[in-house]
Amino acid sequence: MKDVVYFILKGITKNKCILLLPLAIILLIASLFIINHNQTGATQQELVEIFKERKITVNFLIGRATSKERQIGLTKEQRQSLDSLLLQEQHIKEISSKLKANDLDIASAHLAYLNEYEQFEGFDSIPYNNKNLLEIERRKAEKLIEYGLSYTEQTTPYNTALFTKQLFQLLFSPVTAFLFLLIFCYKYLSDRENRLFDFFKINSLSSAATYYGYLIPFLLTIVIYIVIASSLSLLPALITGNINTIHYPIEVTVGSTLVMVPVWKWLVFLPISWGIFITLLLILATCLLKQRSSLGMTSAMISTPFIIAYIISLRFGFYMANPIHLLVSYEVHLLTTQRYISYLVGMFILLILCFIISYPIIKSQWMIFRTPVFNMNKKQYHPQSKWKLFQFEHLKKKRKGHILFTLLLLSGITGGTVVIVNQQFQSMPIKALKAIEDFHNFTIENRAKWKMMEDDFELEKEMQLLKQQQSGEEIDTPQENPFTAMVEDSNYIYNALESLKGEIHSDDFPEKFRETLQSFDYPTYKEIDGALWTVTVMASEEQQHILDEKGIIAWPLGNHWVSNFDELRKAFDNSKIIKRYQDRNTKYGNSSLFSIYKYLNWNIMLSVLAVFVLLLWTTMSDERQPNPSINFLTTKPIRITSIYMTKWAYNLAIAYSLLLISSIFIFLLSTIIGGLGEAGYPILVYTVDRNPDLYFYSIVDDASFYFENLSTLILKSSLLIFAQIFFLNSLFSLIGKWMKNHYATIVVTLIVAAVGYFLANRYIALSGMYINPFVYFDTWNVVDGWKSILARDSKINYLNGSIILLISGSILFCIGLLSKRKGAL
Amino acid sequence: MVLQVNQLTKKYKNKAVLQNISFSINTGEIIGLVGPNGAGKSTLMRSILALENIENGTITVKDTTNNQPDFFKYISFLPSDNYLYMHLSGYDHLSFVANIYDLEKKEIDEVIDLIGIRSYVNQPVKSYSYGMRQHLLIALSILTKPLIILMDEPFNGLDPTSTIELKQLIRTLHSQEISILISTHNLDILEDLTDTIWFIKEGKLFTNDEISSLEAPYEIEFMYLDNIEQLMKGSHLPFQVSENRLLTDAAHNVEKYLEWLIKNGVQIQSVNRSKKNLEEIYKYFYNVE
Repeated sequence: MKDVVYFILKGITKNKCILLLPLAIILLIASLFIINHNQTGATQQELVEIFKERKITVNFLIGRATSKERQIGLTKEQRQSLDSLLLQEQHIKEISSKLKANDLDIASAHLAYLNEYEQFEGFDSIPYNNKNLLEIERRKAEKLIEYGLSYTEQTTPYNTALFTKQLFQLLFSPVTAFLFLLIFCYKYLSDRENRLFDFFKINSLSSAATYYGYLIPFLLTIVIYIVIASSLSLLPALITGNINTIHYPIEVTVGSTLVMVPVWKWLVFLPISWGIFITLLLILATCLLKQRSSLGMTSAMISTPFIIAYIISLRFGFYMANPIHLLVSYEVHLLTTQRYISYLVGMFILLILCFIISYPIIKSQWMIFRTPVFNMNKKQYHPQSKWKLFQFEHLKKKRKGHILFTLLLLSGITGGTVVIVNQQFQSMPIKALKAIEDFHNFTIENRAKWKMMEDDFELEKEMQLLKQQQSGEEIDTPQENPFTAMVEDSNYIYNALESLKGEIHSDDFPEKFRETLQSFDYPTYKEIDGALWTVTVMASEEQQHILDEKGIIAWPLGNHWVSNFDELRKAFDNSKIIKRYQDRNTKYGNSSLFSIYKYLNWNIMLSVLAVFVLLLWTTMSDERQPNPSINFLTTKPIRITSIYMTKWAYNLAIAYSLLLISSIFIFLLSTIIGGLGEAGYPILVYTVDRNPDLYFYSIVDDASFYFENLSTLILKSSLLIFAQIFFLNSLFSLIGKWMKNHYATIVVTLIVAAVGYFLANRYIALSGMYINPFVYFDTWNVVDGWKSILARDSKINYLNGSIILLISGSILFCIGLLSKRKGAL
Repeated sequence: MVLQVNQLTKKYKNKAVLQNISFSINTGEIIGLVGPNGAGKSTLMRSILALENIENGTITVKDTTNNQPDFFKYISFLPSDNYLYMHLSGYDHLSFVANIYDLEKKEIDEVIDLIGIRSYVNQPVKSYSYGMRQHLLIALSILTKPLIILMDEPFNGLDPTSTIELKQLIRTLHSQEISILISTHNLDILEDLTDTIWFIKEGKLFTNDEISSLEAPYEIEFMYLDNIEQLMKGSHLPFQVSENRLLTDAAHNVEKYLEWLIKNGVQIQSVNRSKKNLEEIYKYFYNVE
């Protein structure tokens, strides 16, 4: 075995490509360093804003207290409260001046402020801070003081251990793991093609020595990769002397609370877990490849257990025996406690078990699979008598490995959609907690205002009474303070929201959250002046009515979300408001119909189309360079138009069938994870038509809208996608007919499509733009009518779009038919 | 008659590469096409196969013109450049062609065995050597049992054994009444295969009849005469002398020379016309030193 290891290692080290690995890591680190360095300051800015707001409030309260003192005097408690406010002001000033000087070493002052505020709340005072958030601030400040750290940039770090954590999350991610697996499989197959294993065999090496000897150098490479990547990632923190930031506490949401986790836990967990995971993958791959499994079968057999493990983690949560947490969903379950040590030990034992199980498989001479992969001898092609050219096209693509590669890529795109949708769905409790805290902050702010007004009212009342006593005149003063009710309302809202925290993990949380918000007596838009009705306000309410009627739980959180009109307006607002809009508009779901909705809404179809054009589609130009294989075809009794038509039809068939397969894949996977979903979910559809019987109309936005079932819109999108592919294929085939080089054909097609799409959207308001086929490439925006609003033209809709795409596609296709075989001019 | 070409004219950037070329090839005929690089041999074949646009001319095989797909039922092509699909195996190519021509699997196997490509026919073409590709192209060209095969540089890249085998195959095809038009630079092989050699020069085709005059001059040798050149100066006849021999291309000149020489008492030893080999004709035709 030693000889095999030495032999393979020599091969790996002599390969110049291996040098690209550290270079790529350095490039990644340098790029992220530059990006973060240029964008740094977000955390500091956040702190500046927090203390600025606090300073304003504290100053206001001090002003009010001193004024009261001057006018009627203060009680002992009020006096203590004022003293506390003055101390708070001092701390805030100290913090602000440090922040102004870019000094984030404010933990001590921060803690002092928090202690003072805690005392302040015990006096006769107006609380102006969210207690829950203060508790988090306290824990963080205490940790920072414990390790002698200052606050540091959390979003875009560049010289601390937080930067190393960011790099670790990139370098030890599922993507790099599968990239390593791909490289291993490729190397294994090419070595098998070069008869390397036969060479070992004739040198009297046993199967175990050969295959374990082959595997060990790759495992060593992974160890070296981990060491190099870790060392390089730690360099910025080491050089700048910030290595102690490995103790920096980071907030992780567990249930309804935030837990502080030191950075070093990520730095330990990530490389070890990634290493174990990739080793498991390589053992599995070696066993399969040794059994002469095809590349497709290997991919399927490796991905299936991990898909199952992922589905289990989504459906049933965390399990110590599930290896998927080596890569995903580990933070909450492992890092917040010391469980990660026992988990890693468990996974290490699993790894050893896999090694033991692999031994008889590798040693045995028995083969499960017989299909040779990349074997020099191809399986003989025995065509059917029908669709001769069509079969030949398929054979060419199959032999090039394009079908398998595209299937893998499509699986990646569709699987990626499912994963992103589910990861977003998993983050819903965190977002819900944030939404509650945001609402809490807003309520506390309001409560403080009402409380001040309540106090002012009391002060006024007391002053009048004083005046009355001094003058002896009877003045009519109201007995009841009208602002007390407002303060109580605020308290009610605060408590109601607080009680919701226990529900954030329940399936119907959005419904409970909405009901709570509605119980705060928000007026219906119908009670407001009609001239102020916006699509956002109207649609939110109307959609909710339909959801209530159908008994469907809304996708977004809250009772008020935004329409595309607000997306336009937000451009003029600040980043905080944009962020709030985005949060309000985020939809959460994991059902199959929801996943398909997201797939269409994110316009992933565009990338799918690009994949087809780039990799799978074929044209006449494909036959011209580098080999003039067109001459092979044209010197047979075959019409040129038959070749053109076959290629066109093959492109369509392959695109439609692969899309169908990938859609089924998304559908089935999502159904297993989150069920079928609600086919009748009402989706907002915009229209420029005005018909009060059919549509709602907003004067502010000058647009009508109505609601349509999700399933109907998915069907409409499918029709539009069918037509888009038809058009794009005809365009591609025609360009390919005229060009000599296939790559030039791809580039020209993509340029034409990109320019067409850009111009169509840039000048969408021009009259007659509805006949431009490129307008209809934005699938969901056409189907939900938004394009018709932008163009102020109801002719831009999915039906016209499909017809125009099909007609223009047919015209392009027919132009391609207008040519004949070479010969006499 | 199998192939009929009439008034074929092909131009590149207004320069005529082929000028009003007309010829016909009969059943079972083997024709060698000779000419230096760029003379237009490949262009002629490509024009016949409609792989090039032509300015004028008609090309027919069995009453079908070359712009009809059926034309290719009777003609096949062995190209000099590689037009095979690199990722496909030899068998894939043969299978596809057999499918297009509605041939049986048995016929593919026969050709595979005949050309001797069994050992590598299932491997992808990209792994083939030049000679192996040439073998596959030969197999493809004969698989369809055409009436005529156009072979463009068929001997390129073949080892001596394969060259001998291909020559044998061409003779076999000839015996099966299959016509063959071969272009090659290997004059020895061509001379070995056929007597019908055509030359292409400056876009024009010179058939056997036209170049027969180039074969060799008549040589008149003398007895007891040391300086024929001096003697002939008094004859007022145009003449050419080489190594004290009188040379002429035309038969009627021989008659005139003999009449004058006999009248002047010169003893004639012999009158010969030696056959020139193809290389000599080529040198003479293309002015190669």
